[in-house]
Amino acid sequence: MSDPKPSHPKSYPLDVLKRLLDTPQLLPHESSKEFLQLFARLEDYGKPQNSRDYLVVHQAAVLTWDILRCQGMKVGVLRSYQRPALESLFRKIQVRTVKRNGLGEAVAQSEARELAAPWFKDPASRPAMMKMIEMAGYPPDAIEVEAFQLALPALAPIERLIVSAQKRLDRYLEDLERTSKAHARALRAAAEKAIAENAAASASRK
Amino acid sequence: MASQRQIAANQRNGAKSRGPRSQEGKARSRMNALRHGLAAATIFASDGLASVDDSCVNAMYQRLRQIEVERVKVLNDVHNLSASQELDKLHTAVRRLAALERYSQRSHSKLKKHIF
Repeated sequence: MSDPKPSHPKSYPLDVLKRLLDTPQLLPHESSKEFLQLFARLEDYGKPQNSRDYLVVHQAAVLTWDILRCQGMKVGVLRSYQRPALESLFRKIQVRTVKRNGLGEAVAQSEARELAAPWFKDPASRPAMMKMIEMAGYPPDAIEVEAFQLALPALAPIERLIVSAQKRLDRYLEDLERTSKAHARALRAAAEKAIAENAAASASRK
Repeated sequence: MASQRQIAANQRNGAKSRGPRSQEGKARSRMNALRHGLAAATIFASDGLASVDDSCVNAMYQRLRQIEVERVKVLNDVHNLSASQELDKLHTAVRRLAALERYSQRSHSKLKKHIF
């Protein structure tokens, strides 16, 4: 669930930015505290000087959050394909057996479903089931591989969303880096000018 | 099954109809095939009229906001569905998310063209 609204003692150059940070667009299970921490980190990195820079920092925070959200989504999708993956593996194993016994694939399917059920009901049964899978010639990570293959049609669009968000984020970060360097250069020039003026003033006094 | 005479009568009667005639009827029927309007080439303002110039930019902002609201809804659906075993629904929601991303990018580039 979202955290209660945090107070912002810090003032920002734009009211809209304050509003965006007071009510970030998050899902019910996401934490606004974590989003604000991310914003603060990016603020430290970009050292925004004006309203434009602040908006860029905010956009970078939103995009980073979106990428993290998509990564979480990928994990969730893979997790939801665990049962079908296990059933699919058992079906493959059962098909070999029932073919030898002259039975149909429908039998293999229903048997696979029955065999997979204890995995989710009783975690203690997992080692024995893993042994069965390995005995059939599959590697220890066969369930993950099968889940990945089954989930691929759903994972591909999420991956594209991540790539697209990453590209936009890179552009914003480059922009931040450029402005940050420009500010640093301007600051150095101002400091050098002040030193030169100070030196000239003290020379004229002598 | 309809007889040949009935088919001919249906065709005769159907030919008499020439669709909506009043401006109001035409404007209404123009929206018949509209589902959500997020991918429409012409942007319609909330009053249903095609907008131009300044109001077009406003309508684009409005559309982008609409896409964002829809995106948040679908993201929440994906989150809830990934905890369930409704894989077909999950897949549909993910595809919808990808479609919304396309609409959003298209609207952003249109907006850019209008502003710059």
